[in-house]
Formats: sequence, C-alpha cells, structure tokens
Amino acid sequence: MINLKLQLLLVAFSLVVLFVFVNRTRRYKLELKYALVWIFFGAAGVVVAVFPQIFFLIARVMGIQVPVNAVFLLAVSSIFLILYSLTVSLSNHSRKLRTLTQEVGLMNHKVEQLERRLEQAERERGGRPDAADR
Amino acid sequence: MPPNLNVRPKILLIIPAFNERENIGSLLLSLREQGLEALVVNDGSTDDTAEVCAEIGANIVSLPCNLGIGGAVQTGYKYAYAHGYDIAIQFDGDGQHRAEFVPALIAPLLAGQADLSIGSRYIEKEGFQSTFLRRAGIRYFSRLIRLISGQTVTDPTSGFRAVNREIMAMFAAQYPTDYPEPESIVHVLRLGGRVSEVPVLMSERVGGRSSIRSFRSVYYMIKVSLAILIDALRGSGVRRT
Repeated sequence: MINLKLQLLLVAFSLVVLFVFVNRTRRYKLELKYALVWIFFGAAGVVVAVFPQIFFLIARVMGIQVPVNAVFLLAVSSIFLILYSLTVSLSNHSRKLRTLTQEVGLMNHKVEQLERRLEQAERERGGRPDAADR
Repeated sequence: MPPNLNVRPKILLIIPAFNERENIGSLLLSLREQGLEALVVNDGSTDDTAEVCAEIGANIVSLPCNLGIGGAVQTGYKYAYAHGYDIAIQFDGDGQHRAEFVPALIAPLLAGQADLSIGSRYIEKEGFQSTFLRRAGIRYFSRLIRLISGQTVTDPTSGFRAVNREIMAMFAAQYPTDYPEPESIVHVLRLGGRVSEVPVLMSERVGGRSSIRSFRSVYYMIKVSLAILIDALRGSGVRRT
C-alpha cells in the first residue's frame, strides 16, 4: 500500500495547485488558456492521490518495481508537458511581438511623413495652420 | 523577375542601426552624395542615433524596442516591398560596407541572373578579411551550406546583400530573428531562389561593436548550424508558421 503520509501530501499539494490556479484565474490574474493545463494536472493529482490503486496499475503496466516511482514519473511528465506548452506560447508571443514592433515602427514612420506633408501643405496655403481646422 | 530595363529600378538601402551615432551621419551623407536612397531602421537604439538621422533629414523607421538584427532588417524588407522598390540592399551602418560596390552587387539582379546577390570578401580575398577564428567559422558555414544545398557561398555571413522583389516578399513574410545571414541563404535556396556572389572589399568597422563577440561565438556557431540543419528539414512546402 502507498504510504499514507505521501498520499496526504499529494492530496494537499494537488489541492493547493488547484486552488491557486482556479483562484488566480477567477481574479483575472491568469488567462484560463495557460492555467488550464495546471488545473487539469491538479485535478488529476487529486484523483490519483485519492485512488492510489491507479499507481499500482501504472507501475505494473510500465514495469516499475516501486509504485512510488510511478508518482514521480507522472509528476515529471506533467511538468514536462506544462513546460512544452509554455515554450509553444512563448514562441508564438515572440513572433507576434516582433510583428507588432515592426508595424508600430512602420506606422510611426507613416504618421510622421503625413504630419510633415500636412504642415507643408498648410504652410504653402499661407494661412495659420490652426485656423483652417476650427 | 525579369526587370524592365526601360524604367530606372527603384533601389533602397536598408541600414539596420543599433547605437550607431558615431558613423551613421557621415555614412548617410555620403550615400546621399552618391544618389543612393537609404532607409535607416533604428533598432531601439539607446543613444541619439534617431536624432542624428532626423537632423540630416534621413528616412528613418524607429522600432519601439530592440528586435535584433534580423527583426530590424525584416522591417526594412517589409517597407521596401510595400513601397514598390525593385531592389533592396542590406547595408551595415558601421562603415564595414562600401557603397561603391553597390552597382556591382545589383548587376546580377538587374541582369535577371540571380534573386539574391551577396557581396563576398573571399572571392578575391582583398580588403579587410576579419580575424583568423572568424574566417574559420565562415569557412565552416560555407561548407555546411554546400553540403546541404550543393551551392558554394564563400561569404555566408556577409550582411552586404541585394534582393529582388520575389525575395523581398519572402523575407517580409519570414526572416530569421537573430544571426539571420547564413540561415536566410539556405532558406532562399530551399525555395528555389538563385543566389550568386560578387567580389567586394570591406573595411574594418569604424565604431560601435560587432553584435557577435567572443563569448557569444560558441552560441552563434551552434545556433546557426542548427538553424541551417532544421531549415534543411523543412522541404519546399513549409513557408511560414
């Protein structure tokens, strides 16, 4: 049987993860999109901690001799998946940020040129630049 | 793209600049004297590069934050493509590149013999040849590119290069973010672009600092090698994500 202390620890840890990520999302501090994977693994953590038989099954299927090692294996894999999802979104964001930065630069340039052309046109008309608008 | 020889081609020099206040002013004035049109892409400089350029009435796009050389140059390609330029030339703001070689550089494009023309220091092996270690690195990339694409490029890290509108569109859509030079060559070759080199002389940079310094060079070698190898895995189908 899995150690009761470890079981309680797992339940507590998973509940904390669940609470933190649900609560932060509730307060609009986290985007559900990115909290989702944490919430999912938090919930899965509670389930497997309450029903440790799952670990025995996994350990047997994977040929792991000590069931507790299946706990670590699952934990590490979960973290791995979370990190992967983070790397994916980081890459997406850096690409979007680059495009945005370039667009902002190009648009600023366009605005400056338009301003210059406007000033010139108004100067050529000879009037006070502001009078025409008001 | 067979260029229309009756109309004078519209040519734009793209000058990426990051903290280049010492050289950029005199460079821009000398380009203007030679009748060359230039666009400075100010890559979030923290010095007064932008003010120096504005003072002499240069055409300048200022990026709100630093993107790195690839992101800055790509901005220039986007601009050149949107404004209907026939040829875009990448030109360093640090005094390494010499404008007198621009006609030779664009000749293969005008003749319709190449889509990307690279100015190479190592065809005639004259002028500033860089340090021994850098030359070794460049030879290595040259071999790697030949291995993958079958084409010999003697100076794959050269930032002095000219492209026609086809490649401009390609680069505007997809361009490597950092250390773009060797990777962009295999990118062009993979998508069927024709690459040729012309001999040029380069000078030692006048001021500022190279973006590739010693402790970063290992990272540079590994990252660019991987970028080239991964690009080879893309096949002709993968254009952009």
